[in-house]
Amino acid sequence: MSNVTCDVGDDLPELSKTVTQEQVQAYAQASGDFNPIHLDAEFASGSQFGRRIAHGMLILAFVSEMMSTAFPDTWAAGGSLEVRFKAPVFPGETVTTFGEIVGVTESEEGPVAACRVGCRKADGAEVLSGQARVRLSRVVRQGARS
Amino acid sequence: MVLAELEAGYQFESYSFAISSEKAAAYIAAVADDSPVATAPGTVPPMAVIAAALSRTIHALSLGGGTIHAGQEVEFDRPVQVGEEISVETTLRANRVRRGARFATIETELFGSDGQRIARSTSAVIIPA
Repeated sequence: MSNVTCDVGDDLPELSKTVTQEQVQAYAQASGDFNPIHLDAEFASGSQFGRRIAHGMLILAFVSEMMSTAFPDTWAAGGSLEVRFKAPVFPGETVTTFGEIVGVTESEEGPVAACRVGCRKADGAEVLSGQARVRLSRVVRQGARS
Repeated sequence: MVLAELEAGYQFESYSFAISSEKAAAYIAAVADDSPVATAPGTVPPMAVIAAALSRTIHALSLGGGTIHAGQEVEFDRPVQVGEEISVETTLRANRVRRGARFATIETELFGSDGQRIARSTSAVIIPA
């Protein structure tokens, strides 16, 4: 890990991102998700949210980036996420990821960290939350506090 | 394909795809990810593969614009290489109407050319009736 150890209670490195409509457009192109609720202002004005919202998978990508930053050696090879989307993110809003190691257990493949993860708005409202699991690399284990 | 006509357990037609270096770069730029995993030469950000497969399923089902993404699970077994052929198996795990809305769960498994699983995704979506 880059700047966290692997002790229970340790926080993962936060990431803050301001989502723009241009970013939502770019994400639609990159992912192939052209749902008009993300792209069409007129359509979105008639939705339950009243305006365009960012893709949930775009916001989840921020959480994955946080995990990649914290666990660069193992996130893409054994990491997992399970989240619920709780609130929409509107273009112009800033969201910040959060994460905390809540447990470290042994498995056949070595130690695994369980993390509480999510993303929240500036007012503290959670946009998504859930849990992540990731194997800990040998280097991390050697660097862990006792 | 109409979601309302499909039963839980329905298996979508399998397909394969690859993510080019241009597509990977576009994804990285869109999510503004500068982490070591995303920017590692020759590899695809793990969430890019999941997003591409999910978008294809949503398109196949012609889900309306009011569709809400309620939950998401992902498991990454190994990194994906740029240009690597990825085979996709998609299964409708749940599909029911409750309190005026349709709740569907879509499971997607992605495999490499060696037949080994690369990743798994489970998406929960809500479609207003």
